[in-house]
Amino acid sequence: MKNTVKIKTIFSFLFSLLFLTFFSNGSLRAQTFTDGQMMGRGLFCGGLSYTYDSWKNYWEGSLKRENLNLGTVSNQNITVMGALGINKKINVMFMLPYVWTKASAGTLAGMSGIQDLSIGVKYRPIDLKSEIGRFNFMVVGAFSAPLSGYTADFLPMSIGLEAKTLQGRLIAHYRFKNGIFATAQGGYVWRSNILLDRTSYYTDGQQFRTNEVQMPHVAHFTARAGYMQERMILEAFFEQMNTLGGGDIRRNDMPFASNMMNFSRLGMMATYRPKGYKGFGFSLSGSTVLSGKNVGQSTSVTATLLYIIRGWGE
Amino acid sequence: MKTIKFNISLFIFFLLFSTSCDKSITNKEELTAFLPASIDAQAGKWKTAVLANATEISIPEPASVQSAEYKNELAQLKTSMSQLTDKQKEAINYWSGGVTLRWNQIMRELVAKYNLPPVANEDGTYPIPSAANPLAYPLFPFANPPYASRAYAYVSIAQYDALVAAWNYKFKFNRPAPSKTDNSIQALVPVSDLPSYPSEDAVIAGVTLEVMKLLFPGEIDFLTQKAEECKNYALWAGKNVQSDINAGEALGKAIALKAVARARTDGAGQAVGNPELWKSLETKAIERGEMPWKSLETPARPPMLPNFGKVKAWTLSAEEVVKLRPEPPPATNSEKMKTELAEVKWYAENLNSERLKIVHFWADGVSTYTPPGHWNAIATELIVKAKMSEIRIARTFALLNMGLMDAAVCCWETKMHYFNPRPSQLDPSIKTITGVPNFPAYTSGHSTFSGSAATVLAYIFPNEGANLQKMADEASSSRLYGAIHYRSDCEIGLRCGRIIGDYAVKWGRQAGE
Repeated sequence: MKNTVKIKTIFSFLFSLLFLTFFSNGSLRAQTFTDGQMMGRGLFCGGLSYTYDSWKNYWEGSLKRENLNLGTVSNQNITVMGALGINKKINVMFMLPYVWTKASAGTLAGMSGIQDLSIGVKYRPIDLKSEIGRFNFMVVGAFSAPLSGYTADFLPMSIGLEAKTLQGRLIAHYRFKNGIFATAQGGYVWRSNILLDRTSYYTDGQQFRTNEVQMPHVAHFTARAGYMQERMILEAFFEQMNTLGGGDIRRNDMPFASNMMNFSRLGMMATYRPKGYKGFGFSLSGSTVLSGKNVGQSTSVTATLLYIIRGWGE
Repeated sequence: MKTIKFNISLFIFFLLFSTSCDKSITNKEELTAFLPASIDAQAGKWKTAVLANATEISIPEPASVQSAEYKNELAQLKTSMSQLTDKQKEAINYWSGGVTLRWNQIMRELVAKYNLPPVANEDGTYPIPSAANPLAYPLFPFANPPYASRAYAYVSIAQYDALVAAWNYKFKFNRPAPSKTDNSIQALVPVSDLPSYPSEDAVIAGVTLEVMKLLFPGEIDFLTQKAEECKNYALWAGKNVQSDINAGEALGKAIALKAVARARTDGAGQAVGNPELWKSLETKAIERGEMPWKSLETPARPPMLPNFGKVKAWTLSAEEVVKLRPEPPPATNSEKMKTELAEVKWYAENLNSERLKIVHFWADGVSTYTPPGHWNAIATELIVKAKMSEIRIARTFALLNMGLMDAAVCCWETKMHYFNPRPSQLDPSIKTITGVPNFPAYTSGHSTFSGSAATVLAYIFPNEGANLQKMADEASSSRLYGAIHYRSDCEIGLRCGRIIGDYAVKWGRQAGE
């Protein structure tokens, strides 16, 4: 059970760092810090995931529409990730996606490239055990920045939004001895301004005569609940992302990096650690956007493979 | 427990830190008040474009500075200046940066706001914006590049004419500014030796408002409020007395009527065309043995303003427009076209970050102020550096936008005549780095606009000439890099643009420098 939980923890933690674009992956990945478990001291976990995310309908402001000149827009990524247990209370992690986009109709070219490197630290100050279960409280700080010169000014084909981010999150997690668990996470994502390759742009009812774009910050909330046993975890999750500012896409306009991109997403995830393959685990996750503003109504599937090795410690 | 407190405070600190960082954005083109290098005392003799001459519209002779009437105006001026509100001070600060420059910014903003193609109807047809009902969807206008070029041209040319008339009267009546006739009046903005009757700011307010009402009928309230501020700022700042303002506004409005009358009959109202015309363009291309242009949008959208090539130009007769049409593009089935198509495909598949930057820098597509607006922005920087007088600023924009609109007319005439397909039509595997404009390829609009604009601006700012022409080259190439134009479209478009620009330069030289 311990290893399954660890694998799961790493997976979900790492994905919480992933800040994909707009219309692509619905920005903050659905899977978040779901549980209060940590990698043990000296354990390193490496992972590789593949995601296919696509949408046909999107919201222009609050108006849901399709666009025959885009067809279905897909966003795929392969992501490498790793996490290291410094000690029982502190974990350090990174992740780096390679992203490629495609529109099934129209003439716009898909874009591809290395997106943003995320590095985060997770700290667990509270770990309370009782007769019936265990309560964890955790704090997360993370940072992300683009590693390649991609452009955010070609949405929905852009592979990212270019902004550097700082993320702060609080997580509360409770697990009953019978395996039922629930987690709540609230986070705030600070985003840096970005620079376009053009000298003016029109957004939020205003002409800006500069290449600099103010990116509104983002609030992010997730709730997860499920059941875990020795080799398997099954869970459902809900995610809400709100961009704290920014304008709507106007009627028949193109989306813009600083738009107010909001969405609610519902998903399921299964994690499994096969018997006899020590250290290996994999997970499968699917989710769909229920409602939103200035984002695609995307459906997303992710498969992840992880492997744990011991660096030091017992 | 201690750790919890520590962590929570750490988190709160993080939040405060992150939200307090200064992310505010500073707009470029921050215009500040300045004294012009010259007051251009001879400019009242310049040739006008829509007016027969500078004296076609007359204004009353002003009261003399010794008169009781004028002294009364001075007293009123002192009173109003002593009671300025914060809003009035803000308006002084804004408009003293140069009223013609400010209106150019406002116009660019409105073009960007209205530059959105309408969504298709349920039945696959497209609605046509209606000037009679501008605020119903689809909003009027769809300020696409030809529309925008015409808007910039009418406003700039009417402003220029109005200031030529104003300069003529200023030096005819020679009434000094209030701060020069009464030592106790301290103007809040720099005041030159330019005679103050009629007020150039009020002239610009009057003429611009009336022309822009025609072009952006959904913005009348906004424009009226801006025009009120534009004319009154001169009063609040102690630059003019009320009779300067009144005469200026009346003169501006009267001249606007002349420009509006020309606009109503220049053929732009028929530029959208109709299904028969759209079909005939296709048929004619087929008859010439060519593959005709097809809209790459779904559902297929009619070509943008197919009759814009017949709109009345400024420096060219209708015959000259046809005469300036370049040689045909390579035939769609020719080896030359194959080679050019292969080159486009190479650029589509070998994008690098340098070319991506160039494509996006010059894209000026949907929701922007269009390529003509981009060249107005480039001109603004040069104008500010040169510390031009109000009338020289207006002349610069007038010549620039005359050349840009004539470029649009000639380019659209060429596009609709040859009705040549875009690269992605000939080879659907070519994906583009920017949106494909919904009209034929040959010749490139960006190239024609840029060739014309760079030529006009190089005439006005000779020291910048080489740099401006380099910018035009880059703007032109950006369309090949973006995989939406063949090399011929760009190179020949640029060449035509430069020829058209020369016509505007010639017009400017003859009108008076």
